Amino acid sequence: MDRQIYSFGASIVVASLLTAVIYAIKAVIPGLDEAIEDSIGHAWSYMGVIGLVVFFGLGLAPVRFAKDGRSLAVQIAGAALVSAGVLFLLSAWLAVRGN
Amino acid sequence: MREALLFIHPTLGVLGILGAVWVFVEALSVDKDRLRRMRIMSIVVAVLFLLTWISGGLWDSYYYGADRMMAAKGSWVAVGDIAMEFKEHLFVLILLLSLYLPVLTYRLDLQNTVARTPILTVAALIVLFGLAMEGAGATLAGSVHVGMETMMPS
Repeated sequence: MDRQIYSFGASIVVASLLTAVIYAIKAVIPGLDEAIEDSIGHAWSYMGVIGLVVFFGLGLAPVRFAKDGRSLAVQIAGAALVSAGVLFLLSAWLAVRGN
Repeated sequence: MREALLFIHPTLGVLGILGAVWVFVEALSVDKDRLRRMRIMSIVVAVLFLLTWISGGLWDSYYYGADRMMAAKGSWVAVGDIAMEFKEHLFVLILLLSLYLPVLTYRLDLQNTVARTPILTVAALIVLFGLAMEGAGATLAGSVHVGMETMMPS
């Protein structure tokens, strides 16, 4: 019964960090974001779909990173806060750079 | 339709934040009635953020371009760009956290409380990130307003 608590928690950790990594790749390669938007759609849709695929794909798999509920909470909070911080800094860098 | 989407998506987001606060408070001390309310509210939170994602995304895709052109006339254009890029990508995290909440609440029971700390954490993150989204949205609106004032000085 607890299996999905840990597997979906692990998928949240991976999806959070993956979101920041994808955004970082788009930030350092000029024109990539526009090329992706031209081919598969707007960022709000494809980033969400990627997140949902990772969330359900890993969540339904037998994946476990944490040993108990407390360490799972720490992993989720850590990944989400680091990812949010990276997203904010990259957004600021892109705006200052003029993209 | 433009104005409807513009106002609907932050309203749904605020309702989702309030729902996450509700789940957080219920999880502080769990009993049978609190568990039932928490489960219902976690579903409501997930649905609200799914609707926020769709309505905000549609507004972003079809109507933001005109506002971006307006903001570009003013001195806050960089601030607006930071807010928009941040919102577009941070929302993925909120959406996934809100979908995880029912997974946790439906696996919590009075004998097995392993999910309680993750529920408190996830609900708190939804509130924190949701408020950041609302703040970024207000900043974005400010950048458009500054652009309009530059075009039409009072």
